[in-house]
Amino acid sequence: MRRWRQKIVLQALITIALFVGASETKAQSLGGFLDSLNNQKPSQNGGQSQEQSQSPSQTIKNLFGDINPKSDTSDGQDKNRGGGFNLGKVVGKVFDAHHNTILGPMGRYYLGRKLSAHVLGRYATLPQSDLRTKYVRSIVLTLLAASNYAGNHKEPLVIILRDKSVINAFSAPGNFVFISTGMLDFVRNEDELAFVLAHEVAHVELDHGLNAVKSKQGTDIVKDVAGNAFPGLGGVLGNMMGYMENGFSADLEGEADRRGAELAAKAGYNARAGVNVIRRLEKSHGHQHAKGYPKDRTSIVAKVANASSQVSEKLVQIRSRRFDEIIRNK
Amino acid sequence: MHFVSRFKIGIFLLSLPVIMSTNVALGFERLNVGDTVFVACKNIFIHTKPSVFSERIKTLKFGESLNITGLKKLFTLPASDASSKETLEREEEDSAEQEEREIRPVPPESYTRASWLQFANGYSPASCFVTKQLMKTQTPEKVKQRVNALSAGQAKRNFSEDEKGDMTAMRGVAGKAKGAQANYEKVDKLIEENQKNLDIENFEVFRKNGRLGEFR
Repeated sequence: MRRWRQKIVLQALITIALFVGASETKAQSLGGFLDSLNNQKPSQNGGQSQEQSQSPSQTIKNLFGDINPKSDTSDGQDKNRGGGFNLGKVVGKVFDAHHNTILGPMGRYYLGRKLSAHVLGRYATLPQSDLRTKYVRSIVLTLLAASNYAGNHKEPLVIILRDKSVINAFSAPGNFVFISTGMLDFVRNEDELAFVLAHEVAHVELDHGLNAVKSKQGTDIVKDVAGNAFPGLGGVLGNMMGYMENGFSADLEGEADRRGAELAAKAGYNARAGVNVIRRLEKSHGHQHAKGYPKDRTSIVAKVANASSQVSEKLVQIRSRRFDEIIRNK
Repeated sequence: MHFVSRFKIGIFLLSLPVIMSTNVALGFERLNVGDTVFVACKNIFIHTKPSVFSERIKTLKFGESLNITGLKKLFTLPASDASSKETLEREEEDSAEQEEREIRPVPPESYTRASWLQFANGYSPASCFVTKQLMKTQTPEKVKQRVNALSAGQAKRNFSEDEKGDMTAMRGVAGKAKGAQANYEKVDKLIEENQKNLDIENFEVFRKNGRLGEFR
């Protein structure tokens, strides 16, 4: 229903745009363009799939390129006359942003591999055969089994970064999970470590990586529009977009905290350990938590912990012992 | 400003929310009973129960097609998803206001997804299955093209030259991740090592000793 309504509105907009001035637009572009919108059926023209035909922006540029009466002028002339606003280019960028974030399991894995390659260019790592890597990996796999994302294109990859000065963990689409030796020193037991890792697994499960890319591209595009079409308002809108970006990130982080606590509890860990680790992180990283993270992280996690079944202290201690053996080498 | 230019900007601004909301769910495709789906993972099995800890009956091959006979372990999409309950309700409220009608309830099937799919001979995790249309894109060449296009967009904005841009999709529990010159050789080596170090028996002992997973 919703998709049909969107299609009708979009088709109406295209018709208007074509009517205004796209007299030279090739009719064959429309099939590919609409295919790129609904992403459901093969192209009508020649039976080519969406992938085999032109990219959305290319098609849209074809469609909208001619509606600008000054389209045959140089860039410099455009700026002088019309504020440099190129409708086809901007709409094309929006569609590109949408098109390129539909990746599927294999695409997410390749995106994660690419991001991971950048991380690995900076840090030394522990080997996959190291006991610590195997141990952290077991925790991640236990958490993943509790998630809605139990299947992955290839086996999830857990990497320990050899850097004691960095207290962090992060993840990339396709289940690439990183944790620094600094963070392994920072957490006090397996349940705390599990919460840190669960937060990362939650980012992967909830597809926050792609959401962030999409959001970033969306706001960049709007900044472009604001800057080019409304030069006087560009800065104000730019700041607003920056605020939106940071607010959105805080929402995603809050969502990952909540879901991370749920996953930890579902796997059998004490979700309350998350409250402890966040408190200490806020003490040591105070300045970093002022931006991009929700202010009430501990209460988000505490709420989930209170609703979850209690985990006995004895169990936490049993797990803590193996944590000390493997991570602290005690 | 020329009338046509203003008209074009008007069309664009009107269309922007529509374009941005024309969203095939990012993480979770909507799949239904009766749909034919395709395996998009390299290591995936048919299990006796909708749990990774249950017995594995069969190994599925990448690209294999199956028919869905049931949806298991349904969950509500997160608020950040374009098809979440919150987003759909907001859209419905806007539509009802514009069309001057009563607000209709959003059907739960619009914002819920299955984490496991049931097939004729067992169960498998839904995150490994895609529709025919999405399966056409699941080749290394095509996905690399899309992934590179994402990075190229950022490169234009001078982000990929330092660690900032390429790390947009990766945020840490305690701050932004930092990257550098990509080292694909190293990541591929780790992926290979990882495959060699899979140890299912020890993993079970780990869960059993820690009273985790199915042993909790």
